Amino acid sequence: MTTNLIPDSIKETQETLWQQLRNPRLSFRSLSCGNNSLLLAYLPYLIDMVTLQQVLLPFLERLPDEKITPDALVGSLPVARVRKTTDYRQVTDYLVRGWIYLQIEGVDSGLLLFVANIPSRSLGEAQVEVQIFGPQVSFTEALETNLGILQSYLPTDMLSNVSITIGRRSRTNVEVCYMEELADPENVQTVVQRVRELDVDGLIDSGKLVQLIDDNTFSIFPQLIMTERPDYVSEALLEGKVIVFVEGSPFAIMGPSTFVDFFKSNEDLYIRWQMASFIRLLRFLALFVSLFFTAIYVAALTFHYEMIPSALLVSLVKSRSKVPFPPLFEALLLEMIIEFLREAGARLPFKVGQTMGIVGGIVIGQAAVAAGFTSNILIMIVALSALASFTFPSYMMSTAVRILRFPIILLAGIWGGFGIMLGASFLLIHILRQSSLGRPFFLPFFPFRLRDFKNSLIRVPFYNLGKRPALTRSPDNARLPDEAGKKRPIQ
Amino acid sequence: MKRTRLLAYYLLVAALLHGCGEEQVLEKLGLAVAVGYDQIGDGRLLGTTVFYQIDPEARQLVTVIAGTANTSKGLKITHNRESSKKIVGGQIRVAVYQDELARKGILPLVENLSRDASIGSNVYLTVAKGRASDILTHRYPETSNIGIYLYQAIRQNVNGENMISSKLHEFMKDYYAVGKDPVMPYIERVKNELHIDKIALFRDERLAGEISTREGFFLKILRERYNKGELEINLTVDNQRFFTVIEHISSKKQIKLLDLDKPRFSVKVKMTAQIQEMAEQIDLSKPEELHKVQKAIQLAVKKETEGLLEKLRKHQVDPVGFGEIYNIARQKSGKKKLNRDECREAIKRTQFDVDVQVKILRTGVIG
Repeated sequence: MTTNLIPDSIKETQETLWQQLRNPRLSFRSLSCGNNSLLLAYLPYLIDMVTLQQVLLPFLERLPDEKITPDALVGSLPVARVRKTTDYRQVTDYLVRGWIYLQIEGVDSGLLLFVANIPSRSLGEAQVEVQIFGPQVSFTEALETNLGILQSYLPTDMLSNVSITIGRRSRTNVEVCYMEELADPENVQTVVQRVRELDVDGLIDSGKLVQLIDDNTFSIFPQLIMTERPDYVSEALLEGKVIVFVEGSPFAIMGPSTFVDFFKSNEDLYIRWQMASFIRLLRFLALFVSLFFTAIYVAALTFHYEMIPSALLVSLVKSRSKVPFPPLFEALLLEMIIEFLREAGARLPFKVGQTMGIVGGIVIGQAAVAAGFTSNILIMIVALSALASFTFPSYMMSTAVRILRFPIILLAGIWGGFGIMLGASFLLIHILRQSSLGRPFFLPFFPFRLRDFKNSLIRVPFYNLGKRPALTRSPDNARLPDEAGKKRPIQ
Repeated sequence: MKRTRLLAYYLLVAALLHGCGEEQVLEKLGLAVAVGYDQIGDGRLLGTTVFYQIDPEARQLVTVIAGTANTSKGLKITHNRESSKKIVGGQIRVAVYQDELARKGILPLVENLSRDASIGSNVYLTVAKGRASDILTHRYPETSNIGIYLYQAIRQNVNGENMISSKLHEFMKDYYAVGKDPVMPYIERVKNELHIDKIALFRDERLAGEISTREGFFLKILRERYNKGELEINLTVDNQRFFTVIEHISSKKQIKLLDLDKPRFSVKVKMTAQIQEMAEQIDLSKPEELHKVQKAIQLAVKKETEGLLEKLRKHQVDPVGFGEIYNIARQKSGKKKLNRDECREAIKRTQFDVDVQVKILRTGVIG
């Protein structure tokens, strides 16, 4: 402990900081006003130069001639955040976060002034979770900005934060947000504890954090929703969920979440309930199409010819008769091609993106059929199931579903319809066993909760959603003043 | 560790049981659409199968092969010897039985179809006048796929209420119900055309007689609930004989046993219909005129129904299921259940009180 104390001589401090930081850009500014000589230390690329030059320096130059103490300065400095320190390790910690260090000759303590201007981008529209209707702003990489946006949606003192710094090397700020009185303390405790107990080297993105704190690392399904939309996060907070922000990540982590939550978009709340219900049911239909459509084709063509409607029989056999592979290989091949296309589309620089459309659409689509490589009915089915998987609002879930398609196709090729049922049962049992922050993952169905069901596969009118979901176990359940609910909602 | 072992088990099971699923890859199959059974000389069966032989270059979609054997599964073996593709029955839509064969009983053949798990119940059973192979092997100028053509023709008539449905499960149900007999469409080829204008009556599993489709209409209203459909009737109103067509007929029947010892049935038919066409100018907007016509239709329907019942008795068949009703009534009064032959014997000399009520809902509007 004693070795970390700040020396009382400015010169020595300067020397110590040099040795600690080893950064040639570390700048020092010595000032002498009257009998005092002052030292300012800072990293120029992290601080707001305008404030320094136009506010801070003129103020320091106009200091009185007599000896001053840091304690006297704390009250009068024209900076919002001032902190006293006697530990030079703390000084370096703050310097790299955009603070200015101020020391007076002959005093063995200094002041840290917050004049940061950390490079960040301005607010932009949501790019990953696109919505047609509703707010368009998305979170950015700066944690402070994100908290600012969130507070502007919920200007209430009930919004509570817990700040945690994790990462031995990265020293990343993580912020756990929840609504006091609405969030179950147990949920908050679970999240805070899981984050606090992390002992990792570095943590750069929330995508990494979510894998470190979720319930089952071995499941392919994501168990906590990640979103870049402040309106979605605000809604979730009002439901009593817990949110985690990570410095440097525009994606907030949201929990507890259920399997069904991954198929909900926040836009469903902004459009009328009939439309919302229809669209939600459509997404669940898409889930089944995406998981089983190709598999059913393989099963029907390999094992269950009697299932095929007689009207479809002739065209099906005609398109198949030139294909040299069995249906299983044909399907796997085409699914692979679609995945190649998708991955290439995600990785390609924007400017060459157009080429992809031509390669994918014409070369692979048309030519493959003309060459007798695949049947055109299968191309349609595979394209349909790929399309269906893109209807899910959660990118994680849609990727999971697309990957799960492969084992199910394989099972269909080995055991036909029996194999599909086997795969489906396995999946169902797996989902039933999962949990999210210790809460059941398959909630509205198992255990069955009518209250949550009203806002799952369908969305009933708001007047009938008088209570917060059972999932979050909110201590304050009432969203509307009256359960019967013909009065105005309070929130 | 436990996880890895479990995964290893799964993979092992998948690998070992792979061969247990019997692969039937679609393009390697000859999908039978229609099968026909004939009897030839020495008790052997002549089987005819119409099946898809789909080849993008070929002009004909279907191929017909025939072979002889002693059993229906034997026919399958014979057929497979003649074909480049494995012939399977999962897509069979129509089965045709020669009338002579049907007279000797077709139960083993029908049961064989119904026991095959790949064959659903969506198969129409029909009786052919003459040889089934004559119908199936003939080249019709209008259609290249006789199997589907036959299926659609029967289905269209069944849906239009012109023909009594005789799907596989319906035949089996009628056969196994004590006191009820199955019926089937009776098809006949006249040069290049197929006629479905008769109904074959069965006594248990044996063909026993035939009635016209017109009589089939009256049989149908006695057998089941009847919706839509139309009928041309010869009426006599005020000593004038003329024809009228009623449509959108819907009818309900009620059959009751009146006397257990000397079987007597009350057969009540309630019918509503619209008049579509009349050969004579009668002002139907006048209630008394309409009433007259209504009465005349009632009389005509009653007469024809009685004629049908008489004919059924003559053939000693019971497609309506009077025997079943009689048997149930017997058991209700505490007597022992009758078997097939006793049941048939018991209702041999039944009396029928037929009562028909016709209500004309609308006249004039066609649609």
